[in-house]
Amino acid sequence: MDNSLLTVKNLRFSLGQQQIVDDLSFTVTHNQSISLLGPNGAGKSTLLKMLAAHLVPKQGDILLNNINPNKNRLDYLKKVGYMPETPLILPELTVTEQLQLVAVQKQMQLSDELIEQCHLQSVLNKRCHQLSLGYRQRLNLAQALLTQPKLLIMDEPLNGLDPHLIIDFRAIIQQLKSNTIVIISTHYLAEAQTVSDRVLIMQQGRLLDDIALDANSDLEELYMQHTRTKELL
Amino acid sequence: MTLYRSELKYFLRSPTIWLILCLTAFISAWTFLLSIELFTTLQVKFAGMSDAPTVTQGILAPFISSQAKILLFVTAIIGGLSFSRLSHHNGWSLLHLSHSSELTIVRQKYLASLLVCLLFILPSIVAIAGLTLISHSPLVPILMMVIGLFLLMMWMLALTMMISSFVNNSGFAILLSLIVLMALLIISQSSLGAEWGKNWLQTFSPFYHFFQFSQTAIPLASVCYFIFGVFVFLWVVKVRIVHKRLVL
Repeated sequence: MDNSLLTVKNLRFSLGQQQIVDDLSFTVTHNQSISLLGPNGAGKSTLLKMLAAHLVPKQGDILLNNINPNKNRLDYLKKVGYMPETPLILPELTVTEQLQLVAVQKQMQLSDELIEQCHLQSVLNKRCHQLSLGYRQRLNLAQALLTQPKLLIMDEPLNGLDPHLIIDFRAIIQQLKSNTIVIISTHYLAEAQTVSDRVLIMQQGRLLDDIALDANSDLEELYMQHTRTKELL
Repeated sequence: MTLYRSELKYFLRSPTIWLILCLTAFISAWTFLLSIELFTTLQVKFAGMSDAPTVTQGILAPFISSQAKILLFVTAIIGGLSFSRLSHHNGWSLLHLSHSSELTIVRQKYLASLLVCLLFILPSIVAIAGLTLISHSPLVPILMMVIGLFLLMMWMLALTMMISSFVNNSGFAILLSLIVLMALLIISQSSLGAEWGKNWLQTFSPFYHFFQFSQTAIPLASVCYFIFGVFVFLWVVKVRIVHKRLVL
């Protein structure tokens, strides 16, 4: 029996001849916040979709608390929250209706605490298509948190957010990471440095580096150094 | 809020659907009133005929037939939108995160779409029932034709939902559904090679099977054709949802 909370082993995903995720492995032994960095097209979103069980890997295994999504998908889904890059919005529904719909799909109860945590009280009766980008992201987050996940996956959650919302998101991530594994894909190195305990750097579908961050780490320098060195190699 | 209810809300809150409902109701009412007017005018000439057409033959059967053609457009729109529209707002994610089985998802979406389609033919059904009662027409042939219409609608809706699950663009899904259904309608009317015996190509068309319901006995082969078709198409949609998890 594996003691790690999350194990990703020799994960591969290809589209025709193109390897999008290529032999990627890492483990997470305790709850922490992990940033996934890399240039566009590195395979970050594909990796996150596989971790969220929205995509089936061509090869390799994912184990979350020893549950494999390919063997026990429904149990796995109960432990995972996924915040996709494009928010899941059904324009014809109100925010309450959409949350209730997702709650029913996930076989969970919608709680007032969750609505308060994501600051959605003021827009509950608004149609989803009327929401601003910031509120769409809050709704996106609320949907991901419905299952009280053990693994929270966020695909570029900070895109297009104003500074107030970025601060709110940062606080939510800090609050969650004590009892959840949070994996965030982002292009903002400063944010990654602020919220993460660990950084995974991807390039061309491969994992270039796995760096544990401390207070003195300079992520910008580390990122440039690592990607340059690997490019030279 | 279930997927069934959210699907209903999508259709019932869409102004386009109400506009189409108004148009189809107007066309149906117009054709119905015209056929009554024509029948009343000709009734004087029918008086001396031994085998004069009845209300069923002169009004109701052609009207139910025209409803089948209207349903062709309605099911192409309703079914065409059901899955193809999901690509716009990351709606496939909703199906992927669902803890329900794929069959439950397909069933809920199908039943909601079916209910919306029923709304389109409801005024016509009421008109048919009214005229049947007023004119003291035999109930069985009318009932048979209405059952045939309902089965045809179920079949066409399942087919268009299947087409929709393969297409990412709503407009294209509707267009493709229309082309396929029109082709099937043309096949059913083809008399090509009739002098050589039965045209087997016609038996592939749902409209051919729908016309079998104008007899008084239940055409079991046609009932099987419709029910089997619905199951096959919906099963393909289920496979398509599973397949979506294998591709980006």
